[in-house]
Amino acid sequence: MEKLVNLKEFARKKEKRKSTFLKFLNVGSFLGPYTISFLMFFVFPLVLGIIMSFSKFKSTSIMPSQIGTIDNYAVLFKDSAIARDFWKSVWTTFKFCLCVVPLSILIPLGLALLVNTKPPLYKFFRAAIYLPGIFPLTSTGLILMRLFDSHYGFVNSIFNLTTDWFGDVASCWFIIGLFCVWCGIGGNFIIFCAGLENVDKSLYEASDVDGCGKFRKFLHVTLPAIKPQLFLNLFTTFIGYMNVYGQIYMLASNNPDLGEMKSAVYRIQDLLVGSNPMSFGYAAAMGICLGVLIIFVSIIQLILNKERKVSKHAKKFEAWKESK
Amino acid sequence: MQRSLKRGKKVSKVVAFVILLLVSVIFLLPLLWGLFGSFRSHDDFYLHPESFFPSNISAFTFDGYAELFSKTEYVSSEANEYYPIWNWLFNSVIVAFGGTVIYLIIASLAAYAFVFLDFKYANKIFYFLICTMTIPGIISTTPQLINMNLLGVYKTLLGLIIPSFGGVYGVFLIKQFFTGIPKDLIENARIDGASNLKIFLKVVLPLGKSAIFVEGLFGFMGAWNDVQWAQLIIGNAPRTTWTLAYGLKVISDQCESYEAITLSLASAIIAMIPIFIVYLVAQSKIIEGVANTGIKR
Repeated sequence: MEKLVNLKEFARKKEKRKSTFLKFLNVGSFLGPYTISFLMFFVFPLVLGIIMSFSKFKSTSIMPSQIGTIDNYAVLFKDSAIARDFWKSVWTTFKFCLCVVPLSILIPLGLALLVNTKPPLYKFFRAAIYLPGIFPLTSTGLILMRLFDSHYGFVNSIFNLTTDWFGDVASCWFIIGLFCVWCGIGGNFIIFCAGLENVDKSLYEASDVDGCGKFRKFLHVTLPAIKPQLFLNLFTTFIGYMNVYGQIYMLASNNPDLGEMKSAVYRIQDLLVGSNPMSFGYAAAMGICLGVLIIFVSIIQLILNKERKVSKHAKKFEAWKESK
Repeated sequence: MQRSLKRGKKVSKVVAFVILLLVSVIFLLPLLWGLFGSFRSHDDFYLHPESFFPSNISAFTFDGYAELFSKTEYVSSEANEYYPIWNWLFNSVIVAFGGTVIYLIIASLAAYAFVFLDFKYANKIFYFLICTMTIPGIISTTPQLINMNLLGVYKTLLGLIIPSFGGVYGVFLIKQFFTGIPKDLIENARIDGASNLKIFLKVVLPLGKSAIFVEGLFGFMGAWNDVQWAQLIIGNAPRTTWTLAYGLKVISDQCESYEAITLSLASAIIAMIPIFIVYLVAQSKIIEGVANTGIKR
């Protein structure tokens, strides 16, 4: 009898062990491919990047010749040519963001408000405004270059201008901004459209009963309701344009003052395209500097978002409750 | 009161219609100008730069396309004007389509594991993955290039494809969708003795295919349009390994003169056609997909 019980126990134990083994096998086979690729193409480069930024390279090998030096950072924070160029480019990128990000938020928001009134053909308009952004930047950029060509361009000839749009720094930035609005607002626009669609209609009816004006309705009903979308767009657009490269690469590479046009990523890309391993250490260090800057600004945005979430009245109410 | 409200609505609709029409026209005009321009003779650009369409019927020509496709053979005397566009098209399709399909398989398998195989720390691991999404990509650009060198795929198409396999966003999106599938369905299938692979193929994939399709569309468009990474990986490679989006930049640099304007516009249009077809077929899905990123998060 006792033996039988033992046998049962044994069978159960074996069954259990078998099932945990099976489970492990299952999880392994489903998660395995992704784990490997995540480690290989995400974690490893990240770690390698940090190591590289603390390494010295010789021009003959892609492997670091000396690890554990802060020379790269020292050069970047010293008064050297590389440092001057890099930080100037970071500042340029930042200024560019300050100009383009508000446009990339306000223009799509305005257009989404118009679409939200549901005029005839609004679905067509939505599709048309989203359209330019889906194409390769090189295609749309090439068309733009030809359109604004100084001699044979359509724009110059119908407005009777002789402006060399791509030869001058200021006008080149203007065209790049135009490019970013033309091909870059699609996503934000669609997200705003969806956000506006999801605003609770009864809120508008209630504000109608209260006799709210259009502007107050927008300020007190619409804006709070689409705040998540507003912050999402602000966040992603800002990060996106801190990394701006393609637009400048496409439109400004013939500019005589290319140095004034280079964004931070453009500098890094320059070092890498030359494929002289000597500069890889600087490139890695620059990447980390720019990345940390982006994270820093994102954190500020997140904190602002959190603070806004708790409204003034709620805070007052909390304070009042505390005092009781 | 009610009537004036209604009329006000009508007026605002008309105003919205007019402004939107104007904006849409402005947004579409450059594309249309490029399209018509690719069928114009370059003399027509010279003589009538102010004309939007080919200025007369004789200015309408296929020369740009013909010239572009005549430069697909390597001629050593004109090594700079060698545009193997068939190779570029083929490469772009391989990178955009092949890379996306493989990533979707990997990502949906992982998403299945996170949702339906409740293993230890599943949620914590997933939370960790989401946190890694906030790390700016520029940090790993340089080391990724070395990584590709170490793996021996520098200057090859594989070097364009495989870095995307480590992406988190696709797993995140597909997992979001899988979470919406009723757990009872999976439990029932399990009680019937179906293996996980069978459940994945027969139950979860058919239900989740729209989400996977949308994710695939974005992956395809992203890979097709990529220039930055392509410049690093294949920029120094022979021209036959370039992709279309990168090749266009070189065409645009080398075709500065007005004689080459038709050719360069033709190449731009060719690179846009596949994406445009995708957009025509799946326009509502793409727009819905973008909209969802704003609502669900």
